[in-house]
Amino acid sequence: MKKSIFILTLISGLMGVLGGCSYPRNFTSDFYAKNEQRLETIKDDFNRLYNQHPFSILFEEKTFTNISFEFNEDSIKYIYHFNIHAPAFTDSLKAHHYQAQEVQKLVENMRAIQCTWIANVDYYEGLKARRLTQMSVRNKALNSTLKGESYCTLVFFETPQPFNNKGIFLDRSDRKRRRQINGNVLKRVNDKVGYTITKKYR
Amino acid sequence: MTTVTRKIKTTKYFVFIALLIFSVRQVSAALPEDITPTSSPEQALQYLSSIKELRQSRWWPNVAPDLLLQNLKTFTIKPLAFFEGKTTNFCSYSALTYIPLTYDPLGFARFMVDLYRNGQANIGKIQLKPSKPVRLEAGLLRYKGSLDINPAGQMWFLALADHFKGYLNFFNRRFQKGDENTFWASTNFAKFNRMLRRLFNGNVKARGADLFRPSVKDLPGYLEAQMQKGLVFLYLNNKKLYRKSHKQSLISTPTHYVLLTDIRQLPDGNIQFEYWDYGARAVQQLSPDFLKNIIYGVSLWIPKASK
Repeated sequence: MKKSIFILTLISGLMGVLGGCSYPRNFTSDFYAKNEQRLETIKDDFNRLYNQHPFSILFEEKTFTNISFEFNEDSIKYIYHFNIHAPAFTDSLKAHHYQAQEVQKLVENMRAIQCTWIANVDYYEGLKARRLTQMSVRNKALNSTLKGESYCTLVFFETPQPFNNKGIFLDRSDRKRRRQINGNVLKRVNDKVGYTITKKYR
Repeated sequence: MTTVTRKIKTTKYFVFIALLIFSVRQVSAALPEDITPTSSPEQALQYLSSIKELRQSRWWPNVAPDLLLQNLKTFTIKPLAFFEGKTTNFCSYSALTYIPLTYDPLGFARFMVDLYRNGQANIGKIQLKPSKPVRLEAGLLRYKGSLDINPAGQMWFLALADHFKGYLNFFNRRFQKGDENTFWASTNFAKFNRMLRRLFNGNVKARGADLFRPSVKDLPGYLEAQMQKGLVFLYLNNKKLYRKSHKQSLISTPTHYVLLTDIRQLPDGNIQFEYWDYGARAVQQLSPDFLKNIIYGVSLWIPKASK
């Protein structure tokens, strides 16, 4: 009797530990459904500003007060580190001819949803260059005592992507290949949006 | 109609020459004044244009000849756009490619065409003869950004990683699919310096190690002085230079190679640190302490001819 209680306790303890290691299975679809409008607004605002003058934004710390702002010029990228409340940030945006107010609004929206990184990334379909928007989100549900912190990387394509019966995005130019982003397979949220859960936000 | 065509051709010619001059001018920013290149981009382009017909190589079945020549021309015109690919461990090979692309573009173009035609070719003091798995993989790498459409770059990176081995490659010496992202392709500091010595005609002076930072009192000043002598490559901690997670790593190790293109002290005490990696020049303003903390190796390459 004592032995079976011990085994039961051991199994339930083990299951508890394993459960603590994984994130909720439907995290991304639930998170996306709940925050779709906010995420789409951030993506659209970013793309509108990016088309005027390319850049990317990264929140360097968990406090979401310091950012690494990448100003992309023709042949050079300036990576500057700012406190978002410091005047140096606004001054630099103006000096590099960015719409300071609009960018600051975008930064605030990213902060509100704990979006750690946003950037446009080139990819290729055959020899044709295409662009996608990549956004990484931090969320408490993705933290694990044993595994540490994970991030949900959302990928926004411009066109609908093919996917297999497991909901994994496939390469449009070679449908035998599973599309990858930073070495990770992309799962489907909807036809144009994919996600992956990773230990790195970029 | 003929006049219009001629005008378009003339305009194209001028645009091309302007682009060439501009790209050469950009590149010369990192070359010390007394270094005279062995060949010019114009000579390389002339050579590449003289190849009227390049047959599909039986050694590199997945590299199309037209795309290879197009890639080689792009390397010559835009050497700074040379990109190691996303998530690969090709940064060391990419950094040192700056030397042939700017110092001897004609020699590099000839080498690449020989490698394509014969499956082997000589460069510097060595003969590169890539293994079959590597030759079959070149042209098939995907999801690496612009490296996807750059089979010439894939050939070069895979051939180098296949030939040069260091202790980091000890447990993974034979190429298997996906190894471009693993220890198979990684480069320790000694291997990097060995590659510089054997691939290019120059002298190499190195300071630092894989686990210990170089003990230099005024590192920015030292780097600035080294830049006057030749090309300076840095071996640094990429996790700190480009943050990728909020986690603070307990172990600090270098994992990335860059070419230093400019360094100077700012009035506020910070350092303006300009370098070349991932197919573009980048500028960051860093504190001297942070810079000292991330740099593990400094390699200086001085071409022999300039002596």
